[in-house]
Amino acid sequence: MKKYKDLVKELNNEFTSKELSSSYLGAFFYTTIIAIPLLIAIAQIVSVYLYWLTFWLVLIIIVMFLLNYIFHRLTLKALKLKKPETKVDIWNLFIYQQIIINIFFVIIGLIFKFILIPIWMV
Amino acid sequence: MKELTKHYLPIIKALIIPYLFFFFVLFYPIAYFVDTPGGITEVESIISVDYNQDKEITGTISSTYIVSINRPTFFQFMLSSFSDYNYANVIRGTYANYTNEEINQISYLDKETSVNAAVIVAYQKAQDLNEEIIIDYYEKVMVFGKATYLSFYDDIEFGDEFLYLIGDSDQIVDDHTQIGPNTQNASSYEFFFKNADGETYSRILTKDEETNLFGITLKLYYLVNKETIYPKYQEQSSNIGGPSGGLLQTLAIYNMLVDEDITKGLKIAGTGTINYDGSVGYIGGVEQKIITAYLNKVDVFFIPFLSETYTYDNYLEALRACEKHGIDPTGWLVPVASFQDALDYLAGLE
Repeated sequence: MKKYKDLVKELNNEFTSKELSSSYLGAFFYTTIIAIPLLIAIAQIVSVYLYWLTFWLVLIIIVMFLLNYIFHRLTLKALKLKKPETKVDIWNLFIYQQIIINIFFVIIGLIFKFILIPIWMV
Repeated sequence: MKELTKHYLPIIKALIIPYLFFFFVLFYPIAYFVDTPGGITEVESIISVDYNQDKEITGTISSTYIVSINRPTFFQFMLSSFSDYNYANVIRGTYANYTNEEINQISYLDKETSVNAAVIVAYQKAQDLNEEIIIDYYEKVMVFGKATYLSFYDDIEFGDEFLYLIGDSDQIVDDHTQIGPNTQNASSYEFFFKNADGETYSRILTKDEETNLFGITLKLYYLVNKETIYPKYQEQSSNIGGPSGGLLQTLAIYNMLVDEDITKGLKIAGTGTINYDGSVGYIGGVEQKIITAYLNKVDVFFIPFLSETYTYDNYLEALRACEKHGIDPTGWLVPVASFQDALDYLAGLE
């Protein structure tokens, strides 16, 4: 946790808040462009093959991991394009963030599997 | 953002047309329907009766649902072709004229009236064993179908109650079976309806020149009087529509009312509508329901069997589906013509 906090501090010292928000926003925009058709396609796959629902739920979680990875890769790319000479280990910082977000996705998936889907499927 | 756009511009340019095409495939609906296997739902999770609360029910009674996609997108249609379990075909008949929302409305109307029929049949049967049980019901004629030429199409909703019409010689006609004989002299008549909010409204409906019909289908339903019924029952809202759970709902409600546990520890499922006289009616999507039952490993699956000679009899269709998919129907696929047949079968089990 200390290492994470240090990396956040380094990142904030290296980049202005405008540069950071612009990078995050750009990455979010392009990730959304990828995510929208992908998630609609998966929803349609689920509707046709509903009897494999658990399998699709696992796939959706994996896709969310992938989108999370793409978002952080794009953010990294945007920051590196802004300051190619930066010495901050941004990717190391982003790994921590991805782990936290992925845990969140797994929890959401488990809530769907054991609480929401049994309620909806009646 | 600007840096990313500049960096990835060649890729964006190259992918923009495939991207838009993919969106087209994802959203473009086609005039087909796709039936795919769904799942089974324990009736107890939808309907509960405030009676025999201490009774231990060892098995389960479930209705079977399939996923029916009306006007699938091109992508869904393509996906459905990858499995033998799915069935796709052109939307035909009256459904071809209905929007997906209207088809859903009909489906939920079917389901609602089916639950009422199941309660009536189950309570009446249980009444034979226990005089404490009281069932009372009333008649209601509701809008069940609309032709495209129906006047005021959008004003009249599925499920609205038909009250009466002003027929020839200003006669009030409240019997829906007498509409034809009492609307001979003119082409337009004033119909009175009551909507779901309880508001009464009237519309002057004009006969179609070609068919000489008003374009409205009315159907008589018997609905449970919830004030006088004993014991009371609760129905949870459900995402699954249609009348095909009628037989299994009747069995489950009956099991909640009687002392004996008719499930005998078995996983019972099935399909079939229930009529007010306890007979069972045909349903659609037999093949997908058989696959659903097979995938869910049920012990008993009840299916309507009304005619040995009718090619599309549900039981005969089910046997063909079993043969097609290499499923052995022995021991679990049980043909029934009535609720009593199902009870007799379960009573005969060890």
